[in-house]
Amino acid sequence: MFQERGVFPWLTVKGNIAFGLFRLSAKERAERIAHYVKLVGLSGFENAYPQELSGGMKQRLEVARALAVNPDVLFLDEPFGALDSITRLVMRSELLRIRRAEKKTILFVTHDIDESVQLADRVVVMSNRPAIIRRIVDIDMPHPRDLSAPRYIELRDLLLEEIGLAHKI
Amino acid sequence: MPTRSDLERFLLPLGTAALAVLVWALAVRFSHTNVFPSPLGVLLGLKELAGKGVLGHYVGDSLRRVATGYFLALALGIPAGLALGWHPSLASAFNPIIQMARPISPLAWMPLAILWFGVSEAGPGFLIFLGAFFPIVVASMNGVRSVPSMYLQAGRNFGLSTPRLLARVVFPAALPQILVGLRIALGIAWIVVVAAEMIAVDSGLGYLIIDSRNAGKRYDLVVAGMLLIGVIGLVLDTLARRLERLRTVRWGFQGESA
Repeated sequence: MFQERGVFPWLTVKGNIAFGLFRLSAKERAERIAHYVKLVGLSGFENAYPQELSGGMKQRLEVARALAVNPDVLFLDEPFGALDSITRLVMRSELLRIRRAEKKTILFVTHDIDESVQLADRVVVMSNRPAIIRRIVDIDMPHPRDLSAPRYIELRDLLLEEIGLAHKI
Repeated sequence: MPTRSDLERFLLPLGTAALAVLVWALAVRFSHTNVFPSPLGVLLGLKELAGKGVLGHYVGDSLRRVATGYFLALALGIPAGLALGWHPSLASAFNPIIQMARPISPLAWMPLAILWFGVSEAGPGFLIFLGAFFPIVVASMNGVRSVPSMYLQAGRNFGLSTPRLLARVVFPAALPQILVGLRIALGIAWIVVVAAEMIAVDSGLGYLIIDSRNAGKRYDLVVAGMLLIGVIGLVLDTLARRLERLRTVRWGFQGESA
C-alpha cells in the first residue's frame, strides 16, 4: 500500500478488491469481496468507481484490496499522509478495528510520532541515511488508548527525543 | 422548458449554421457567380445523386474503406505502441524511424501505392492505414510510458506475471490516452479517404468530388461531396468522443470540458 492512492481508477470497488483474487473460484471470490466490502464499511458502494469516493474511502478500499489476498503481513507506507486531520483520526481507529477483526500483523511506516504511539504495539525508530534501527520502543498501553494519559505523553516525548526533536516549538 | 444550456448547446450552433447558409445563398445570388453553386443547387445535386442510387452506395464505400484501413491500423498500432512503451530499448531503436515517417503525408505515398497495389481496393486502404497508424502507435506508446509506477508496483505486489500486468494494469491505465489517439486517428483516416479515392477506385465521396469536376464541372456535386464528408466526419468524431465517457476510462478525462 502506498501513500498516494494506489487504487485502480478503472475498476469499481468490487473490481479493486477482486484484483488479486484471480486464482480463486468465482464463488470464493464473491465471498471474499462481500466480506471485505463490509469490513471496511463500503457496503452500498460496491459498484462505485474510485473517483466517486472520498479520500478516506479510497484508503479503506486500498486496505480491503490488500487484505483480500490474505497476506502474512500488511505493509502500509504512510497510508494516511494525504488525508485531512479529522479523517486521519477516524482512519486510525478504523484500522485498529480492522486489525482486531482480521488479526493481521501490520507494518506501518509513518513520520507522525503521535500516529505511531496511537497505533503501534512496537515502534521501531529509524535513522535517516543510513536507514538503520536506532531504537525499539514497546508501547505498553491497552486499546482504546487515552491520548491524554501520562503514559501516552511520556512515550511520545521519549520518541520525540529519540529523533532529536525538542518538546517546544 | 428549455434551459439556458440547451439553448447554447443546440440552438446557438444551429442558428449559426443557418446564418452561414443564408450568407452563402446571398453571396452566390449577388455575385452572379456561375462556378460556385447555391445551397439550393447543392441540395438538388444531392437529390439527383440519391435519385441515381449512388449516394448511399458512395457513402457506404467510403466508410468501408476507412473502416478497413483504420481497424488494421488499430489492430497493429495498439500492440506495437504497447510494446514500444513497455520496452525502452525497443523505443530507442524504433522511435526515430517512427518520428521520421510520421510527418510524411499519406498523400506522398500515392505514387508508390499505385505502383504496388495497382487498380484495387488495397491502395486506398494502405493510405488510410498509414494516416491512422502513427497517431495510434504514438498515443499507445506515450500512454504506457506515463502509467504511474505505483500502479505497476501494486500489480506486481499481487504477483501478476508480465503478460497479466500488461493486460490488467498497463493497458487499462493507458487506455484514456490510447482513446485520444484513436479519435485523432479516426479524424485523419476520414481526411485521407478523399485523397485515397482519387486513385484506383470508382466509387466513394472522394471519387464523387474528383469525378464531378472532371466529368462536366459539376461544382454543385463537388460541394455536395464536401458537405457530406464534413457531416460524416462530425458524426464519427461525436461517436469517438462518446467512448471517452465510458466509466472505465472517464477517470482519465476529468477536469476536461465535455
